[in-house]
Amino acid sequence: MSNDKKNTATQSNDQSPLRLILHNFYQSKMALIGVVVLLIILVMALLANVLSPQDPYDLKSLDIMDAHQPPGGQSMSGTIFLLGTDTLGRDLFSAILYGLRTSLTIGGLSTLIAMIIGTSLGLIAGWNRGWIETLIMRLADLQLSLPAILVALVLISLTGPGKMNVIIALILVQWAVYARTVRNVVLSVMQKDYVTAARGMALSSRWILFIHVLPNCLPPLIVLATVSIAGAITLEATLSFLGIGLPVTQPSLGLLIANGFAYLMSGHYWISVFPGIALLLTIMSINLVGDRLREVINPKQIR
Amino acid sequence: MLMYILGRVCQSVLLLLVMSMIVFVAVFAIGDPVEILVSPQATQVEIEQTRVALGLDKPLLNQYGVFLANALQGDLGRSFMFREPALGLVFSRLPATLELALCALLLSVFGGVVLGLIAAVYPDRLISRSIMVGSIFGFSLPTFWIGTLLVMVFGIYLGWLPSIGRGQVGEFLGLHSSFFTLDGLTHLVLPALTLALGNTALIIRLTQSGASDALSSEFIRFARAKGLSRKRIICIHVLKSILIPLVTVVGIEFGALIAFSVVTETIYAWPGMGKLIVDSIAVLDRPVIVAYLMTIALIFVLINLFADLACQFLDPRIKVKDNA
Repeated sequence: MSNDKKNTATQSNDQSPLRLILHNFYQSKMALIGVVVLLIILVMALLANVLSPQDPYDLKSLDIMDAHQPPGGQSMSGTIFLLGTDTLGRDLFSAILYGLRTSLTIGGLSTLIAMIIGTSLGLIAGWNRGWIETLIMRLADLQLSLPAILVALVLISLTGPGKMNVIIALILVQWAVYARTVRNVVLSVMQKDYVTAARGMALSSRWILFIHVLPNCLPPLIVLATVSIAGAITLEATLSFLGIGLPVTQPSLGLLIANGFAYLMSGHYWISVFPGIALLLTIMSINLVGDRLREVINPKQIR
Repeated sequence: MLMYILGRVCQSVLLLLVMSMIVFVAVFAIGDPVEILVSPQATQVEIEQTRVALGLDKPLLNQYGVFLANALQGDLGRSFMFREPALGLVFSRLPATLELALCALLLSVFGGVVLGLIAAVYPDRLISRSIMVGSIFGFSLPTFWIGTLLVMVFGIYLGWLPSIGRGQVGEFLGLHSSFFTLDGLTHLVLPALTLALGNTALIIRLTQSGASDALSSEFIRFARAKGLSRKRIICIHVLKSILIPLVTVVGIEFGALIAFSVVTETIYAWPGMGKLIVDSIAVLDRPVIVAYLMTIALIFVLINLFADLACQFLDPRIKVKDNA
């Protein structure tokens, strides 16, 4: 490990490293705000079906007469639309909650899978030097040299839109960062005395990789994951905004914004703006948390 | 040097070849190529005829050869939607996209370098802090959301700038571009700004960190001791030291701008190839998709080639390995 970790270790004689990290984390007010906002968003997304007054996916419950109600407007049956309604008479507050849930699920799921794939490939590349490493790292370089949106666009244009294809595209965009980071950590850890000692004890390579090497990869992985969830959510929203992402029946935030975009001209700003604000708060809060994590968790290991 | 350039060019051609193989396998081998090449209304007899006529009963390698030969002659099939050669269609949209991307590039390089220098030279002033905070926003905000906001504020509520289409295109020395008419220029402002914002944030960060490193280094102190004016130090010596990372980033970012123009063109109904590909994906107009992918690959390869060569000329420290 680098010097930073040693310092942390000496400071925390009476404290566990995790508590120290948490303690440092909350020193920043911005990070605290980020955590609070993120928690509120997560709870709202999780409880979408409890909190929302209307099921936005159930077309039967929609009334076309309620279309284009401004925020605070009243429906034919008397309920109040807190954030207004869209073209279908869909309550925007409910649509945003469900949209948040979709966006967060897809972002989180694709990040998790990409992290598993990238980490495995990184471990493989770092452990087996030679042509396997060269192949994996060249592929990672190729992926990183292309803009994320282009990779996603190429994939979607070959496979067509759809939920699965969007997730695959998001995984394809993200895996390389993990692979590269993990491989670099593996290469530096492999030269440590304790790994040499473990090898000297003839421990199996699987044991060394998972017990001695993998834990060292965790700090940079956690930081990368927060940043890349935000990226994944943004990219998904962008694809959906372009109409080549998620299906219309289950709108994510990007699609809601795109739907409202057509009505900006007629002054119905709320259809686009409120989902936009929800997306903005989500991305910003994740980024705030990610930035702070980067500062708190051993920053030297990233890149 | 010549060997290096030749080597790089060969590498680029090889890369294009690989790209064409990937696109060929993905589009022509996975889907039924006949469905891709004839119109959906064709009868069974017509389908069989095209299959034979196109040589699709031959082995895959032969087919790839034919595809490559046709591609080299600029024939990538006809668009279902427009009933025109697909490559021609993409190329006819290319100038609008290049114009937008170029404009955004100029805006972001100029704006980014100036703002980044200000932030580096006066690190404690309020303006520098707001520039740096603003650049974080520029990073994390999605392009389409910035675009929507700009349309709403400047296009609709204030009504200062047009937010739909390309406007009038002027002609100058045989070049058709929006640069040459006032109407065209006003139509260019919002899309170019939208496209440029994320990139500007990146260049601000790059310039700021590079310039503050340079400002505290020995050769700047020496220049100060020599009595050179502040303006000369910043505009010549500091700027020179950040030029090389800047060129590399600009090379990468120009490609990213062309890719991201997909979003901007959709928002502003800009008639470029980004809008074309989004429309084509929606209706599965495969010949156009193939043509777009090959064109993008070509552009990326060219940009990388030029960026590498430019760095060679700018930075004598990069040693060229002659037989590499």
